[in-house]
Amino acid sequence: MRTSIYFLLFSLFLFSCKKYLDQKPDNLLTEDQIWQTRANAEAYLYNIYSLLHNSDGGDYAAMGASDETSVCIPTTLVRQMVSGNWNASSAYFYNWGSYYAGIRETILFEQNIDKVPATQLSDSLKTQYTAEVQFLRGYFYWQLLRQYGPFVKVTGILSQTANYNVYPRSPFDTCVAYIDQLLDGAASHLPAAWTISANYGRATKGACLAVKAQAALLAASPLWNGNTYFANFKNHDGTLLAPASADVNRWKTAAAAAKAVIDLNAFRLFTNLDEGGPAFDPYLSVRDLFLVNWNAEIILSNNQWSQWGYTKCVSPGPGGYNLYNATQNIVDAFDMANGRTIDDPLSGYVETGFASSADTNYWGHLRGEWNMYANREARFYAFIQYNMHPVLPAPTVDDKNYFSSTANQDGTGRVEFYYGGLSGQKAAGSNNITGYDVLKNVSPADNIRLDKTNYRPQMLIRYAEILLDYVEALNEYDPGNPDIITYLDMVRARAGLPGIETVYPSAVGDQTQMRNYILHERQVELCFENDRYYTLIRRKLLGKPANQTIYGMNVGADDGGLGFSFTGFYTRTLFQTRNWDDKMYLFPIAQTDIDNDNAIVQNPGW
Amino acid sequence: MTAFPQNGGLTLRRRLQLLYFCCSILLLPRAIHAQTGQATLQTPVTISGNGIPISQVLRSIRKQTGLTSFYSNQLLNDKEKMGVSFTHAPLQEVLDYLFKNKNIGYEIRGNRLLLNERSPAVKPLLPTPQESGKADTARVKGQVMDSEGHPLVNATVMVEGKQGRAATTDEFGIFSIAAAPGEILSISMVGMQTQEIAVPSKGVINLTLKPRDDKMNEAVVVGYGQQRKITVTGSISTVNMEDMQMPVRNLTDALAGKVAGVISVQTSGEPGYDNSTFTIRGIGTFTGSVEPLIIVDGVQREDVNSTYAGAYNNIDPEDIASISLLKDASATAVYGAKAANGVLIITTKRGVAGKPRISSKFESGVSGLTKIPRMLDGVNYMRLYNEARTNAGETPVYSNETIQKTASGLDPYLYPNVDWIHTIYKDWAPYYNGNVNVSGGGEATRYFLSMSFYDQDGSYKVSNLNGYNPNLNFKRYDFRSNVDVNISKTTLLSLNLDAMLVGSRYPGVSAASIWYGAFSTNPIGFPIKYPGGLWAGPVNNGGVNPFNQVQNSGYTTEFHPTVQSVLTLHQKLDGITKGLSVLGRFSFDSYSETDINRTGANDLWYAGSRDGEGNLVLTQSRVGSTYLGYSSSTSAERTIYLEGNINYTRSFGPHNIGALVVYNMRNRIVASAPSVTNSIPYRNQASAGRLTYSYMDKYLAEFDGGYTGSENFAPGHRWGFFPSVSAGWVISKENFFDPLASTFSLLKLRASRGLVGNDNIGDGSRFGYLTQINGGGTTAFGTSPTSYTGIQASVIGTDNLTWERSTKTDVGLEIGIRNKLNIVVDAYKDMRRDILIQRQTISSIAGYSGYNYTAGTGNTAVYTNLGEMNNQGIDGSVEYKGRIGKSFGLRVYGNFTYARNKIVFEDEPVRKYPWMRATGTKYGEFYGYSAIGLFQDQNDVAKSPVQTLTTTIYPGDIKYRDLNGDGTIDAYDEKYLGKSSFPDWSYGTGFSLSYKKFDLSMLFQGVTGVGIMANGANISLANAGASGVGVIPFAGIGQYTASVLSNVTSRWTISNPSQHVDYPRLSIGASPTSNNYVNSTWWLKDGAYTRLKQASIGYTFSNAQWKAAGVSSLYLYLAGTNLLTFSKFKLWDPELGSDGAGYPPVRTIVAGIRANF
Repeated sequence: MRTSIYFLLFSLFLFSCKKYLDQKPDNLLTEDQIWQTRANAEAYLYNIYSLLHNSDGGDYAAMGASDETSVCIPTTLVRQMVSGNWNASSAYFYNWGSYYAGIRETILFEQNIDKVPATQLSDSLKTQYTAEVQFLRGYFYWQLLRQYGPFVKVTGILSQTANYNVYPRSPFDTCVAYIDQLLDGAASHLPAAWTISANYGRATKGACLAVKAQAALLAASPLWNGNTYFANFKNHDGTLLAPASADVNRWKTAAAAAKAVIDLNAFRLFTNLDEGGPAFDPYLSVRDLFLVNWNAEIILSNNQWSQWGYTKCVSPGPGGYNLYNATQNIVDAFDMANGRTIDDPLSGYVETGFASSADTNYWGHLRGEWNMYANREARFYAFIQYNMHPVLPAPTVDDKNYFSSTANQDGTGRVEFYYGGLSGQKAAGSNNITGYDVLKNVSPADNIRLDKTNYRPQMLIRYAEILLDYVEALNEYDPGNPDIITYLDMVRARAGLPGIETVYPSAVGDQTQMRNYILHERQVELCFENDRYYTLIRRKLLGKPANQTIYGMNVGADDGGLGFSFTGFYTRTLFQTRNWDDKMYLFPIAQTDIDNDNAIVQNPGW
Repeated sequence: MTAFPQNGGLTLRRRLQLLYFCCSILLLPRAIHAQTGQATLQTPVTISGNGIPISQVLRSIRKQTGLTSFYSNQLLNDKEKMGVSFTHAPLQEVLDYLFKNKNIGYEIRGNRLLLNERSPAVKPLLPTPQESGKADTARVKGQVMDSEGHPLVNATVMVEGKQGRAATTDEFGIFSIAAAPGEILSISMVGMQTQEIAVPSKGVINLTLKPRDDKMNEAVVVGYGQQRKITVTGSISTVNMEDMQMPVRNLTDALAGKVAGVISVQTSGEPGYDNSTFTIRGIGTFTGSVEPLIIVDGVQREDVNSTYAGAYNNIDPEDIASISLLKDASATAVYGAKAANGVLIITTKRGVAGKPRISSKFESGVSGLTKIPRMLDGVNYMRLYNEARTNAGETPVYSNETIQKTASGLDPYLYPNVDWIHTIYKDWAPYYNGNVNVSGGGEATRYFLSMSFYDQDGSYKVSNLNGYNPNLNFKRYDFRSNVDVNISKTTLLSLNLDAMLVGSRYPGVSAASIWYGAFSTNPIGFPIKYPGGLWAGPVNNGGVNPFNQVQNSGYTTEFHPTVQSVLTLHQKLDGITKGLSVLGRFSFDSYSETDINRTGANDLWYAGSRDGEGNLVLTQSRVGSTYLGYSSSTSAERTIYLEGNINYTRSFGPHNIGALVVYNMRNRIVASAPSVTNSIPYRNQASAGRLTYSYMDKYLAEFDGGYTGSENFAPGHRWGFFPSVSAGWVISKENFFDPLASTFSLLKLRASRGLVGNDNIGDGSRFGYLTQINGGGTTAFGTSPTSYTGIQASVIGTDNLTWERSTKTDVGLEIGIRNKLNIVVDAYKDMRRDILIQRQTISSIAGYSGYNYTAGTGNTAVYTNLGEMNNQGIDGSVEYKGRIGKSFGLRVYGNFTYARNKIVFEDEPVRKYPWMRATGTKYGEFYGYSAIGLFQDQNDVAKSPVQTLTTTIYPGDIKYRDLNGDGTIDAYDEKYLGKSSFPDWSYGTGFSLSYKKFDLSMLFQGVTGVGIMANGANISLANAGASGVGVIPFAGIGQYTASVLSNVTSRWTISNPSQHVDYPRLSIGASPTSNNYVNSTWWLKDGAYTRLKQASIGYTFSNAQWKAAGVSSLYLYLAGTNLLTFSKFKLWDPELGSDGAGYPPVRTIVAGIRANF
């Protein structure tokens, strides 16, 4: 009897458990469910947008791959790169995989967005979102092209079991054309700029045309316009990946592409008048350009940047990490307030001695600062943290004094880069290697000592760049074009500088001189915004010894307690002779990517 | 396991088990018996009634006479109804009537009425209690039982030294004998171990005889049961529990070197986090878990994907009765899916019938670190830094004056020279461990109750400065109650309750951070503290003051309560057919962790100079908080397990057959699941069967099969069948072997082959067949931006995902020589197929390898069954046990495990050169360049292949072999270097020696065939800090260059360009990707070691007087673990492997006492 009860019980639980493992996770979101609700479909789009996000504090281009900055930690990847400690297996700043993941997601989105019921998502929004993902796809391809050169064109969803050894890289021109095609398609369904503020940050026609302009400028530049170094850059089947010969018409295309953005009339250069200033102030204009939440100069931005990491890294000790050190090379690039370069005898530049009086401009140098830093243009004071220059992200007197040694606590917070100073070599944990920090994109409303930073967008493309793109391209095929002066002077005027034609009239119509002034203007205006690296790359200038020989102040000289009055600090000191090889004009394709797709050829020299 | 053996001793027991103990007796107060006086067969009784059951008649008799009836319900159906009518009739008459047509006799014994099978003539027993006159000297009574609580009949009781005085036990195991208190009784019985006991001054003696050790009938724990060792055909090793008595916290560490088949590596000695990586026969797969299935008291007690995976390590070895390792397919097949890595079965102790037996242990001692690395002192640090600068063509930084001042030590504040490691760590910390257990019971109930306490301090040299003690302290309380109840003579109910309560305290920063800090903080940056109690420290991001970190960062308390319970009901069904039984088992385990963090930062100061008056110019480098912060976290999970099995064992003449059918299901619920996927219960469902056959214990065969379902696979691919066959031949039982039988007591050959599976897809992932969408990156739009969280696929489903299969083959040989020397050797091969892996060769252009921006890491996973791996080797053990003369005992033993795995096929891209292929290498094999020395001079550099790792190569840099001969050293010249981070060989050898009352034992344990990549690449604080600190000179993140090991002084210099140095040319800013510090044979060191794993010396006190006083034995000992380490690798403890900045294994020295009552 008892036995049969056991058996009954035993068989009962056997039967009751038939579905035991069938606990399909119903509450899990599956692939199909993405396209059933508007919220899920939009969330899928947001994830793709998140790839626009650069890491807080910048990447190789911002962190010292070019001559404008150096990171003081020798083991950082970018320091490894510039010391030549770099190969195809290093996978430094590996973006290839993540951009292709984004590309796959844009294709999936485009293929499926129509499945979302019309009751949830209107046709016009579907069109808009489709245009946005097309822009993103174009943007991702553009990023790949800029970092790695010709990419593999993927136009559909590839299967997990596909044979990947049949996907070679496309020639450079095909790549650019494909980017143009995607962006043109997207532009036709997007507004020039958003009128509803809630959409700020989404793709616009302006962004599409701006990326096209950037790509066209790259295509016209010497790196890809008849570069002999790429003469044997071929696929396994012999297809040339780089254009074989130079063509000046590429510059024409580039100028037209930039002009198309200008002609949208959707953007203008920011000035302090835009933030309600009573009169034009060049210093506030160039400083607050980055701090005013959304302004008419922004073409493409990432809107979720707290700026804490960046501000912390660029700020001097003891409140900041004192990590991103500006170089003497960039310091020397800034004009004098009279619009002349410092090597111009007429500029009034003096390299030695202490300034006996303060600048007439409130934002200029103070009495007792080194003459090298006296009477420079407004951008210098807005972008460069030099020795004795008051620290910015410190709102109160107490905060400012925090950055000063006891003897220097006068409420101004003058930065101490000299050997024994709080940001000097001797200071614990603060081994600034150049005697400068970056000051651009730092807000006086922030308090970095307390790690408080205010929101502002991270600019990815701004109007000034487009203007400089335009004049650079124009000068290459039509040096006499008056637009060159007009648009170059716009940028100079906003910085409070006189027009180029008044300071250097001989440059007008002189292609070579003008090219130098345009690139020089670009170096200053767009410093610390990643642009310097890409400009030097595309113009094949990064390898020039001048751009590989990096100077700073003599931070290692013991001030012996003299502090600010120690003159030994202000000696130009070579601190880096970087390692260069022409292969570095392109990042290597990661070894694993070549291993997994044998049709991909490695970039020349790697 | 169950209290009923599957085999052995049946005839004896069957007789005994026929007794049915009327439960009612237990409920009656003894007073009743007293009132009735001594009843005889002539006592009159009055009973009448029509159709009343016999049981009621017997009850009525009891009321009237005080006689309780004892009978078997197989003997008598007491529900049978009868008509009776007796008035004042003698009892004898009533009984005769009741049993007249039944073959039942009766007998009064004391106040018991015994009913038994009528025998032709009732043989009078030796003096029975009631016959003993008061005239005798003191009589002592007692009861003898077997370990399961069954009375033993006919056991002989003798008074030692008094040949004439003897008695035997009756049906109830009861004896009575004339003996004075203090005299020693010896109780013996065929098949049982003889036991001696002192006669107590009052009370009765209850004692239990244990079955005699019999090699032939020795039982071993196997999957879902026990088997006689002789009939086992699978490869099973058992651990000698005597060897497990060592002062360590975790079981897996204690297992190293104890048993053939185990390879275990302990990569941290931090109390509470010191579990070893523990494998049976090495590594059989290159992804997923390599740890075996852990079964404690019949229930799976470990989950590879759980944060509580190692909870079983907290079981006190004192509570463990046996540990079995199931190594081959035959032994593990019944566990089917979960058993690909072998099975470890732990069985805890159970109560043995008899009077309460108390066993206690207390030990106290000290624990310290096996090895503390030596770092370079400040003076040499500066000299070498200058040298490195000079080597790079830069000017020296440290002036001679600075170096002099540092060397003089006159101003330790401005010119500090701190040995951080010896500042942080102390040599010895207190250690306590104790255990008390009580066991005993009777026929109906037996119990084993145990409580133990473990207390160990960490090795931080800190003190209670701030109102709290920041030192690590680990306390564990184990409570165990294992109770067996015989509900009926065929029904056994067992309940195990086990609570393992761990309460520990850790410094406010992790051990890993502290070690990293000790490696990364150079000796000259700042002192420990300044005068006036001001702690020194760098400005933010400039490194840490590691001692301040451990002393002043607060503390974290952790509470890990684990409660495990198992209820087992075992029912014999001999009524249906002899040898049949069923078992039901239910288990509920609860795991949780509650942490409270009271952490904070204190003020730090820094002085860079002295003012004119010579006072330090102090600036506050960190503004701390005045109080400790508070945060807490909890997590929990529970596991429910249900099992039913049917077991059949029977002998038909020389044929022994056995069968087993098991069904089980398991449900693990993570109560604090971080995601929806994890919150869905983890489920398993399995059934398994076993058939065994043996003929005369000579020819053995077994078939096992498991049929298992997994939630990780789609319906249709979900169930896997895992069969195995095995056979054995006991040659020593053959007639032709007789001439050798006197020498070879055992010669046995066995072989097995079978399939086992694995469904674990690694990384804690589940449902690999489903595409899973999870949170992705976020973006924001608008002027005061609204943040939007995206979604993305974290897993892209693979429809046909199914079981990973492993074919295991094992051949074993067992030899016993003169019952003293035993040798077991097994050769095995494990072939894994369809290994569950994440796809590696899908080109990035397909976009499947997305980067998760929110998480900061991770790729979209695509799982598949791809990959093959072989693991083969040999393991064996030798043991000699013997006595020399009367006072000298010796046991010598040794075991080894050799496991050599090989990746047969891996989802790897087509490599350009064969030496780059992972396929064909072993798991964890180091990959890197082949160093051929240091460049001698510039000419050597110029004529050698171009090394592209670093652009400029100088003399003194490491020179590598150009494998492909293309004149360039690049990624194509890297190869697999032969050695793995996981050892090939593991061995243990030891002895225990006893001389009279002294004993001495030692165990040496070691591994070999293991490498350490000592280039520091693994020293990176879980990728949160710069790698290479402490090893690569002047490495580091933050602006401080890191500390470096003192052996850096052995280096290549221009003045001494020696090849026989530890370090190449010194340089600044080197990292593990630099030419001199990439993985290469230069840094690949031999990680083999041998340890004196444990040693103990002890003395046993015992004499008759103590025994009479209730102390049956007293043992005093001194014991130690990890006392000596022999290794070619000197920089840090070799067991830490390539990451030397870790808490090394601890060395413990204790004095202890064991007492049994």
